[in-house]
Amino acid sequence: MSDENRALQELADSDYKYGFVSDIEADTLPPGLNEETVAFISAKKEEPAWLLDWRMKAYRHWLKMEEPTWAHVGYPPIDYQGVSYYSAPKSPEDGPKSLDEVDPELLATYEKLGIPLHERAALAGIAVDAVFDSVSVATTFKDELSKKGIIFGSFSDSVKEHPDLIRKYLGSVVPQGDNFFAALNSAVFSDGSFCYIPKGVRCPMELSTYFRINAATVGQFERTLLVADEDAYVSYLEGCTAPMRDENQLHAAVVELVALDGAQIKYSTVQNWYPGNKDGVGGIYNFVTKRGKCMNRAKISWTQVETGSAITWKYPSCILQGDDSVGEFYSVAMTANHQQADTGSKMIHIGKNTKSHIISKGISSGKSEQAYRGLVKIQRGATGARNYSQCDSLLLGDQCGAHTFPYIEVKNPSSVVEHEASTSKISEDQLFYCQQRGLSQEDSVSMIVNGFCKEVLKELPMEFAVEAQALLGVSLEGAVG
Amino acid sequence: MSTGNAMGHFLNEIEKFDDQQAGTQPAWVGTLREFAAERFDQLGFPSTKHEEWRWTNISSVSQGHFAYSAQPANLDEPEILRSALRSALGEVSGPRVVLVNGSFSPALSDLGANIKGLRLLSLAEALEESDPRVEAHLCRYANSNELAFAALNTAFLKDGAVIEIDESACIDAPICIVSLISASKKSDLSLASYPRLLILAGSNSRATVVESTINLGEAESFLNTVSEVVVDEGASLTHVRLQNTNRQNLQVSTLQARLAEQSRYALTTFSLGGALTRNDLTVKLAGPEASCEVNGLCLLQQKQHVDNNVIVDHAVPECTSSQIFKAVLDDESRSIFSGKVIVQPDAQKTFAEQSNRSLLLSDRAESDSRPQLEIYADDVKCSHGATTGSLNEEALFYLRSRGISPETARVLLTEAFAREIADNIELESLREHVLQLLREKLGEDAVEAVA
Amino acid sequence: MLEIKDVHATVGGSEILNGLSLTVNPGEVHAIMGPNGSGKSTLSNVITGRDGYEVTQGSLSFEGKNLLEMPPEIRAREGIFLSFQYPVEIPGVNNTYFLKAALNAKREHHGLEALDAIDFLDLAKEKRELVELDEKLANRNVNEGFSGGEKKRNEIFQMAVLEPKLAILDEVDSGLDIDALRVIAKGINSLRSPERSMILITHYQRLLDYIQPDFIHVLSEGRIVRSGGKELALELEEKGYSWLEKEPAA
Repeated sequence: MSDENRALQELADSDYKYGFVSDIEADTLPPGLNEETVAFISAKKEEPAWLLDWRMKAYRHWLKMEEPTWAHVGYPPIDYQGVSYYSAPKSPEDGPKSLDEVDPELLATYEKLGIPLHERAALAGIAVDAVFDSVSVATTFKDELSKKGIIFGSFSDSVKEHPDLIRKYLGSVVPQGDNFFAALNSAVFSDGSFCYIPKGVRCPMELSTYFRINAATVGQFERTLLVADEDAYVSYLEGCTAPMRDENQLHAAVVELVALDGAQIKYSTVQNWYPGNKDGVGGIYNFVTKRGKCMNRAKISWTQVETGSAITWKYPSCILQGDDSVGEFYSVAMTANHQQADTGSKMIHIGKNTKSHIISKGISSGKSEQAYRGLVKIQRGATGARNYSQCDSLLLGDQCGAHTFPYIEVKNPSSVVEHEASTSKISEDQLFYCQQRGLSQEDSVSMIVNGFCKEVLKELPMEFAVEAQALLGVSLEGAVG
Repeated sequence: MSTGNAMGHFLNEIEKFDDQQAGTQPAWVGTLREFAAERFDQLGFPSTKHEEWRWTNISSVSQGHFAYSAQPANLDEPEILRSALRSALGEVSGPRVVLVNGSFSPALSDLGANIKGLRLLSLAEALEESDPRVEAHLCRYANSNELAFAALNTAFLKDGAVIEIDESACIDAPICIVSLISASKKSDLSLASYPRLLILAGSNSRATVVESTINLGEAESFLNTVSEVVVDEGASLTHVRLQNTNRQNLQVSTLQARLAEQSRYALTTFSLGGALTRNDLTVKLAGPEASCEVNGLCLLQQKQHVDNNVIVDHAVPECTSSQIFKAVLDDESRSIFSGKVIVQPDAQKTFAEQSNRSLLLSDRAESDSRPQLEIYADDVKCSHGATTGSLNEEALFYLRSRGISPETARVLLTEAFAREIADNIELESLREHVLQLLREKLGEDAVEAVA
Repeated sequence: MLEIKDVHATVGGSEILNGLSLTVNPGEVHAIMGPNGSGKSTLSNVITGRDGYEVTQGSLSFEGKNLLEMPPEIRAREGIFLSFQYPVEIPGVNNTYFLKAALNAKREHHGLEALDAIDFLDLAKEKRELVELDEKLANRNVNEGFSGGEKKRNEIFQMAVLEPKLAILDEVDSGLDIDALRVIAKGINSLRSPERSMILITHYQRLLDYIQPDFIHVLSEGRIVRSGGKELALELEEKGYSWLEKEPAA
């Protein structure tokens, strides 16, 4: 192994910082999945009949589906009956009414994670909805947001408080039977976040959700639904962590974004689920469906920094339905050890003069495997559509894999679609140049890697950018932005 | 998998063929056929659920009524033949094998017996005499085990062409393989033919092979070809394939090339004709410092459909590969490019490039592209690019502002886009022939404008 | 300061340096000249410790310390600076940030406190003026999209900030027009001091009109075949290199 690889190895081997287990009494359903499980979850949430029907439809559809095998990932078969589909941290009767009532240990957990949930939230000006295992435990700034007519809260509460909105938009972008994992999520999702920004309102602060899986063998199936009404604007942050455990834990989330005419949604994710240990034992299986629909002149921008999970299967997508709508996807994925990631984006151009932009940066090290998989589809009627995609891979070490699988389907002659990709390793010239100026090997590698990712990192909101850079193992002050 | 009925028809055909061959071929050929027939039965026809076939529906083949015919059609009118050869090869002249409906035609062929270092013969003859080099290489590269159409071709293993180039031989004249398809309209069954090509380029040899496929007449036909190409150490082989069949022709071609140390292979395919064409082109860089170029041009109209599926497999270090595929798509035509570069573990110092550019001339045309990189080594430089769009409006306006009619301007710019691939052909007579075909297809305006 | 004794070095198995000896004292400016392939660039890579350059015999010491035991970044922190012939582009890495990280790594090595952003920016501004480097360039990504001349200015700017004890300037004049060469030479001359030594590696005599060396050495086939004062450069200019190879080693 060359020096440069060793430096990176050290970086990649740095321990998973967030792998502590919170000792909280949990109210957990025994493993197993059948119609009763679905009914139990629905009852537990005191859901209306239509939602139970919706879940059942999804469950019955799921039974008929086959787990997809096309992704460039390998894992032993998942025993869906061996997973527990519900775990709520036990709290005083009726759940917490305010932050003061939240289990102090839970709050301490968030402190450890560095989530600005409490006072720090106020300082940072971020409203946080935290999902712990499967239940949303606290939402900050709810009152302040509601003055502007913004609804932001747990999915369960929102079903009770705003059933019409939920009913109107739930499944409108990702239908129940969309794919195997989305169908499973639709059947058993336990909580998540709901957000609605009214017409013409610019959300004054970053909204944030923090997800954490804690209980062993609990699957987490959160559902996020975000609706930006006409000419509204919102920036939304999502962070994820999980404790270190030997077993693989299942995570199958669905995120639906609706951007009505003229609306803009910026959705940023820092995914740092437990990736498993150096030998590939444990870690989260992360099968996520994220999709947004853009109406006329709307814009959805996905930014993701993916460093965690044993397996990542994720393709944040934009359906550019309306004329002049815009979709963006900025991604950094870093895999180390035995991690596997198959990720990318889909841009479906339906409306006229729709534009999309994909920038994907993949860094593979150790024995990891990473694939970019993307679809750019220009429908017949998408006159004047434009897409530009750029997918670069950096290989660190000779035992990892980096793959690029774009799919480009063009049915309109007035469109312009461009795709570029490259794969290479860190150049020895760059490394030596940095070292000749006195930088250590590790710092040199970090600096070059962060430079490689800069185009994506600069898309992240400030608060997240710092965390993302730390996650990439680098202190970056000044190099970004 | 397709329906039992369709498979049944082809399996019957294989059985009939097998009966006809009883006792006429050496035992080892029979074994190859038998194995292939069995694999074809197991594999069945691929469907669009098959990832490698997601954009090409092959049901027009699998549901069609195609029958193998051993009898070359009646081709004794010299006038017809001369014009057929001319439209296949233009002014290109060299030793040639002419296959009519997949069967060797001694009368039309010229095996270049006096050319030193070249052995050109029909596959039937090579099989008959159990040529040891042919026996050593035939069916070793085209994967009948996994590719249904390679298996189907092998089940009909009988005739085709063999090119053997001796060690250190430099063959200056282009070696031509002409496939004439002459189907009659009378029969209920359409014609199917299964020719096979084996090219063995000895070490340090140099040669150019030109393949050209055309139809006589407008009847429907199915052509399923397999080519195996072996390029030994230090050899350099240029291979140009011209496909200009009629609009009723369905074609599935499998080509597998294997390159030894420091060898070079340049393959260029021109897809101009046919209703549906599928090319599976695989080049394996099996020796260090080998290099290959795989280029293609599709010029399509009406409902023509061409699917080029290219795999370049870097199995060893220090090899270089490049792919350039271009498509010009008019009317309701559709082109598909799937190109994969695989860099195996340990194939360090690989340099690979891949480019796919499509020009859409009609709002009903479609271009699908899937350039892929699958990389398992770290010291590599690999890149790919794909672009799809229409003619540059500014360039169009510029030409019009100089007094050129919009139609001519379009043709001029289209030809400029398309000819990059043709311009790469070194052999002048061949380049001129290809350019002539492009102009014919793009319209007479181009000929005048460029003249 | 720099003591090179009978160094033999190989690159990819073939011997490029073949018993080279050189002593550089504080404040001295040495020019190393020689035809292409004589080993000039190999010498700079060996002094700075680049991977792939193996010293098979002989010794290199810097201020009495054995250089061969130090990785490249420690040599740099000890005060050896190389102005690259072809400075590499590092996409996405901000030039100012890069230089600040380099300077602070060096300061830490010498037990000094890291400079904060404000102090650093003041320092950078002062040094930038020395080589007339545009502020915009200083804030772009390292060498990305720089012209040949801009890259060289950036190298000398970095040298001014890092204040090395020994600067090796590898073909610092290559690709420069006469105006750019003047600016660069002015910058380099202003950095001359009784404590700072320099090694100028150049193919042409032209550079030596602007930066006057104390000693000139002619390198041929991996060893110094002749040493002398300024007058040697003129002699070379007149007669070319070929006649030297017949002379006995210096």
